[in-house]
Amino acid sequence: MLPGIYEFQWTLGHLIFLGAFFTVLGILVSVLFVSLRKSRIDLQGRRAEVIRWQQSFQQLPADQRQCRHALAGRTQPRVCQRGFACGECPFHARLLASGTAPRTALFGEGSCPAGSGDLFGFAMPASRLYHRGHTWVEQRADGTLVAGLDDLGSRLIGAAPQVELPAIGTEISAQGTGWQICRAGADPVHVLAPVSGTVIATGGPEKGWYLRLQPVRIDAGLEHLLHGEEIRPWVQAELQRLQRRLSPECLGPSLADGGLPVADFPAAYPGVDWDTVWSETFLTD
Amino acid sequence: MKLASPDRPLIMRGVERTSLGRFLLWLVPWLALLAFGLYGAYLCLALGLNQTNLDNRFAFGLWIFLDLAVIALGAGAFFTGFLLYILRREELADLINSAVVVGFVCYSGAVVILMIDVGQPLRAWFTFWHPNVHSMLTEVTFCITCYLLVLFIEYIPIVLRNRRLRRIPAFLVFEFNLHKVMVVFAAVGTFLSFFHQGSLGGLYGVLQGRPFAFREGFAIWPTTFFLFILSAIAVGPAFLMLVTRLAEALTRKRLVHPRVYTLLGRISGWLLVSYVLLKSVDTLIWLNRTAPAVGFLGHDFYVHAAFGTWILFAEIVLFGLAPALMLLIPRVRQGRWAIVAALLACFGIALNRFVMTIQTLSLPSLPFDKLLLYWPSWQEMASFLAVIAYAVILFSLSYRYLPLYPRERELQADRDPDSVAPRAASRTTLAVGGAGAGTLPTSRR
Repeated sequence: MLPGIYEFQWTLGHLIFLGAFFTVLGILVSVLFVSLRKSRIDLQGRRAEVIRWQQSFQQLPADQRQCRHALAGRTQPRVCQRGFACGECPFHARLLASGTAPRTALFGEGSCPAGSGDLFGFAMPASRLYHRGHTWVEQRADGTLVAGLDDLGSRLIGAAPQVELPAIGTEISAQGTGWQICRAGADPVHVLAPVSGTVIATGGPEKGWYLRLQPVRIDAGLEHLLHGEEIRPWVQAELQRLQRRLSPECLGPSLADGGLPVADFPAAYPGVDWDTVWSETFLTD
Repeated sequence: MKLASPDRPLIMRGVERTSLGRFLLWLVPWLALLAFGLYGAYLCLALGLNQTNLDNRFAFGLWIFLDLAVIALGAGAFFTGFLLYILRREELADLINSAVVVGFVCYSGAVVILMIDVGQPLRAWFTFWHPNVHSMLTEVTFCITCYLLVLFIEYIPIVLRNRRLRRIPAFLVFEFNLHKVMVVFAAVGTFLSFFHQGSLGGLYGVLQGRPFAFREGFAIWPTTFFLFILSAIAVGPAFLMLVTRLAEALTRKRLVHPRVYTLLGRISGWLLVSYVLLKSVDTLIWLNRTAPAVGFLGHDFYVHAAFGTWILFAEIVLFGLAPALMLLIPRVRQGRWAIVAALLACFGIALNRFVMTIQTLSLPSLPFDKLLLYWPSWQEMASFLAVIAYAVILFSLSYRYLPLYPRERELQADRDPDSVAPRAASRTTLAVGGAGAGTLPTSRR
């Protein structure tokens, strides 16, 4: 130790002082090494998407993290702390067990049990399950799932987008990137996958852009998706949020004017920071 | 579409930044100052310390004053980390990133200046391989180097949170894992900071040839060992308040929740009161016991007009007790006067470090000695200003491209960050009983 120092001799002072110094350095290097190693394992285990969602979720404002049961008026305002993973939430399980909240149920292709599906001028069929990132899921008779962008999301993206769907055979995970939408002059919008599964078919623009998935889990893993009476208050909350974002000066109370929402919001509001609106709406950072 | 700034893809979503042109215009004078300072530093390194007004009497000049001052002011970084990660004061999460950047610019600036001061940067490693383990300054060198490494590591995840860098999965995952072990770095940073802040003050325990600064204490630790720690942790939060308020004023935006200022003000106020109390006791002991024991009366130190008793009054009362009391009054703490209090406190700590370096060396310590005054050369001042410019540039770049204030987006959107019912929601009514989407764009049926 300390070679090249003429007549150097170890003393207690050296031992204590240099011991403390190298212990601290050792701790720093070890912790850095552990972090790097853990990162390598996470990358090999393809956990990047899960981590991205965890971080994005924590950055969402509290009103966008509101519990589905609070949205539906079943409980007091309550902020979700689990990344919308209702299947892991004991509170959700308690409400299901007590019968306060209905279980997720799919109504099958084409059916629409609760009205026309017209919510505030947006086509949101109640036969579908909805992810908070504005995607929907329908279950087909063969057990496969179909996922697409909901009407509000589509109108917010606007006309003639360039969509990059994942290749057939790709495994996508719930809350990970499902597909990307690109518009000229803007960063690509990452749309979150509503469920986990393997892509077995895709639909192009003529069919309204969709993914057909073979679910990873036998029970399809749909607990986290909104359904039934939860859809309306969620859409209402989303519209309120959009109103604040698109009219930041706040126009004050306004009533429905009887019109229909336009098909291309960005074209109608050219001055808005759409990059931010899309990131807030599709829950990506 | 709004014309986007060319560097918009690098800026966090949902936050507003000035145009690239205006930002570059803001940087130009600071870059010019930095270039000027680098030239001064180059002269000092290339031609030697004869470029400075340092001499055998004034071995501690402007540079060491700057080092002591910025290291004290930068204490907000480790102290905020300690409060957040160890004591779990979660509200400080709003501020921790900016605290790290402030700490990093303070410590890196101090180390650079120290290298110019020592004059042989290529032999900087000597201090690690030939350590004088009996010197407090060796301990300071070791701790500051280690702590700068800690701050660098703490800065990495903030940089990796840049919007563009986050797209790279390796960076995203590394940032995530590094963030999870941040508590270790916070603990190590606290350990290192306590010791080097203390050891800077501990130097005065061996400065027997300078009765103005010499202090006694417990075993090898003079009272200044503890006073330097206490003053640094008292003023660190105040400096953070000041920097954040300044950033808010320049950007005309709310960057942190007001309760953060209240907490920082309260912490700073109580610590400052404790510091002033102990400093007063220490001063009384020094005047009545320590100095007389080596043949000086307290009066002897203050006979020179340049360093009269006013400086003692200013240090302890005007820039110590006054801001401490201001920060302890809730109404003052929450209002605009809190900034004045923080400014006074920061000025007070800088004055203390000035007294303990420049004034200490100016005062005569032998009967045939006389008062000497020191004025830094332009090269010294240029290097000093370069550190200020470097700090402003790095902080500005970090503010523009990194999430220095994680709640900025929510606060900008006029939302209460903790509320699930946005404030504006009560003022808008949407599509009551109808099909239309309220004020959203609609077309006629």
